[in-house]
Amino acid sequence: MDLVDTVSMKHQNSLMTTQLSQDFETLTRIALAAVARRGVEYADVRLTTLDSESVSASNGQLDGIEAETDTGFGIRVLYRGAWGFAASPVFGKSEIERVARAALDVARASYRLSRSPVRLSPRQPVVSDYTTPLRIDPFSVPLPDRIALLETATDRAATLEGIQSASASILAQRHTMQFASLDGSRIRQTIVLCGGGLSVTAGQKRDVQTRSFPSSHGGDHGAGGYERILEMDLPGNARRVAEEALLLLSAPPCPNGAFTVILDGDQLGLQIHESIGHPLELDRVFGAEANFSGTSFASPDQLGSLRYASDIVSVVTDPTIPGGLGSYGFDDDGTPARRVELIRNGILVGFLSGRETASRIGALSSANNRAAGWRHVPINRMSNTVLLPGTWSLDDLLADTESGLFLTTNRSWSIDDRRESFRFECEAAYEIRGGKLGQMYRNPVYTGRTVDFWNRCDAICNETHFKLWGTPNCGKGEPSQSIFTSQGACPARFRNVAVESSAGKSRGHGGG
Amino acid sequence: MNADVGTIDRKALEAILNRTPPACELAVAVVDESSRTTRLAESVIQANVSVRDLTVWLELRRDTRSTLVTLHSLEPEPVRAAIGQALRILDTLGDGDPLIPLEPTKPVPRIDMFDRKTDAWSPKQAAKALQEAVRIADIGRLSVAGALTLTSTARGIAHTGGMMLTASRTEVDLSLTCADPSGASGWDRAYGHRIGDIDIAAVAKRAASRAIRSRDPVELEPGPYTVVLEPGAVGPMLLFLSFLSFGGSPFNRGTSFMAGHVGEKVLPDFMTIRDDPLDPRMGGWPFDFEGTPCAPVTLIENGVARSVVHDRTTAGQAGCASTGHALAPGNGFGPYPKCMVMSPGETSTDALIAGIDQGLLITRFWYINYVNPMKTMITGTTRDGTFRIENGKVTGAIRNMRFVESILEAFRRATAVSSEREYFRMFGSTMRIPSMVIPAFTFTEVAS
Repeated sequence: MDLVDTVSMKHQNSLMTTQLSQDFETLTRIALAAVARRGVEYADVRLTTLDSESVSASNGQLDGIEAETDTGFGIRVLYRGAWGFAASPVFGKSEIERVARAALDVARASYRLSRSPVRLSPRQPVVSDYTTPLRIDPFSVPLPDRIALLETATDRAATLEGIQSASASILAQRHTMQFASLDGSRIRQTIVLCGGGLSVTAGQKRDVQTRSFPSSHGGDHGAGGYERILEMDLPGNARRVAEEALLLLSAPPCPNGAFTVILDGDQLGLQIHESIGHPLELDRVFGAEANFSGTSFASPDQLGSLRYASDIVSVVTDPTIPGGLGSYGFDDDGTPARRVELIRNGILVGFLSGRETASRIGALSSANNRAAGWRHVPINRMSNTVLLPGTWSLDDLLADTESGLFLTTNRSWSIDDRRESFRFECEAAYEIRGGKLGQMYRNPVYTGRTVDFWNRCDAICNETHFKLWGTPNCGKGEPSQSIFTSQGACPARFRNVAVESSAGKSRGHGGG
Repeated sequence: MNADVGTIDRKALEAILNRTPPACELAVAVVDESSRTTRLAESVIQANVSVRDLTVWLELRRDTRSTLVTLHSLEPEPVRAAIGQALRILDTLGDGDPLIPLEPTKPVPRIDMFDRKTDAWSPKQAAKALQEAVRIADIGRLSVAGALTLTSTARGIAHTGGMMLTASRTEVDLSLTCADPSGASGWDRAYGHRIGDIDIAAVAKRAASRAIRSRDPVELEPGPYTVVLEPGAVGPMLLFLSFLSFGGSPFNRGTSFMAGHVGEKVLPDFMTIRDDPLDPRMGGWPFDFEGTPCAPVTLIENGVARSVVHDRTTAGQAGCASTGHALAPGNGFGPYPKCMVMSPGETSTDALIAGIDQGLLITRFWYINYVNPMKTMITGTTRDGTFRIENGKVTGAIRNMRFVESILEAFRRATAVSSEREYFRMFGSTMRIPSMVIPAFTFTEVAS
């Protein structure tokens, strides 16, 4: 057993990660020495370890506890302007050398079909580290405490008459990521993610309604510690969520028509993700996803001219904001995180990019090139995509709205491959009448066209309503990569939006 | 060049089982995978990766308690640490319901599904082969994007109750999209377990032909249309229907349309749907993640509901035997058929089109999501080849449209399926499916 074999065992347990730096240098030395050949313009090595624990419960009882440790390394090589990448979870000097040679061979194969060489936007080599700020390490919280919290929350919800099931979960992850490049960067990041949620279903068999808290699709997640779970207060909200599910069951279908709509922050977060974040991924714009997740209606020649949204809408990408699923110190090109404007007062002014795609528009990388762990190449991904807050309190915004609908909590979504048109379903809608929330409706759906929709935004709530909403399952790339992102949003108002019930039978009064 | 994943070392599995703590049982599942993906965009190789991956699931059981720990190493020290972690978790758990007893190995079928040529295919060979796709796109003044993935996978299942099974397979997945600067695009794909089964040039030609025919699309009014859905459109519908209805979990819950209707006519006479994991081109395995031997299951026979698929948990709830459809541990989803074969019709796709006065020819659906799962209602958009049929002929392209439909109701309205079938791969499932004619298919808006 050589040194690297010994190192590999340490990597399996992040409790030992403080010792990794020197060991990672050993891995790096072997890997970079194996690829440092004539024609290799750039290379980098990433070693990542994921420690994950998830706890889930339903109806007052523990469902299960699952734990995972995932360690491996990837080597990326740019040979005569063509990329190659290879990766493995198996360590040892011979395996590292095999993987490095494989990355180089793959790059040489890519060169066969090269037409114009890849160029990278400039960045200075970096030697640095980054650690997620947190108050309570979620892995330090005893499992019985986590179990008790979930059992209490689901029991409180499930014991209401008419509730079919209540389920809840808590997820804790620690990503230890080390990066070294041929040009001298050495970066270490420890990112801790934590989150969870509660979902309650009322009704029987095929006639059911579900309410979720604080968000749907597994809840809300972000960078930070167990304090995030305590602040959610799942047990304290359980009864209310269950009561809302029961109310939905007897609520009338959402009316059809053109309405003034206020989107709650969680739904607006997904709207930002799908109709601003994805279309502005620069690799997608250039056609990298043409065969899979699609292309984009947006193009670089529209920079500075496309009126993407109304003039109160400004959007940035900002991984430097703490607390998001896209909060980090460096992307997987080794580019330091920074805030970059995407939409300024409604006008398209930027894209999400990495070093390769940024160079194609003569820009610097926005530090959005990210890989879903050691086994994947970095591609252009969202970090925290943030709709900047406006000036309204939610109470004032409701009071200013004579007639309309308040839509909350995503249930389903679909958007075309160019990101031009969308269809979103929410768990619940509330009538707004005379400036106040009223009747609850079931099965609300709204549809629209991206640019037209964002130009209908006429009010955004202020920073007191701001929250980063986590999306833990953003898919893209071939092989497919699922990565974490967040969207920053406050509730916002949109005029004259097409709304219907997913049952599609009710006719409403319209308005706004 | 490729990592050696020819088979799972049984000694490694035995070494793990030998670490079973006193008074415990241990079940191990291992997947060792080497994949090589060459990805095209803008007619060049945009990404090219060679990845060795290894996943080890350890289920530790004691009395009525069990827990799952996942790691990505077979080395002794990480395995020891993982078992220790599982033991600590077991100690925190209270007593639960009785566990399903572990069962020893049963005879499993032999399937010839490992192709040495595919396993040995190099990135250089992939690049050379894809040059032909680029050449074909160039002829049509198109760009080509896509991915060619070759995967060699070994699977091993073992437990202290007397189970020890290993198997290996190869697979090839090709998907190509050709496009011109106007945005007109066309798509095609192929799947099999041998590279020799994949005709890259034929796939490229079909994708290029669809892209060229997609130029100058006209906008049609949304509404009901008679459609000819090609396998790329039928496949996602069948797969979502299987998620909702062909697995033991929704069947036992009563949310599957099959529940309470086994033996009854539920679909048209010409529809027979089987799950056939023993066809090597279907991407199946001879045994599932619980070690249960796999066998073909008839789901729908001449329109009559016959059966759903089970793992040991759902089978126990239903009072029947597992059909060998357990997914990887911890999936949380429950069993569903992953190798569905729909029987062919007697008429070619061209002849089906010739029989339609006014309608649409749909290549592919995209971004499908649920509208009302209880009614098998979904939404999505067309993509990469949406055409108008007039007087029995394909007369031109139309702009992509969004549909909202009940899969079950649409299949019930279907009037015919084609005599040709294609292999279609999606979300880790393989289907062999014909084209299908469905009247009054509902489109709600122009999408792009």
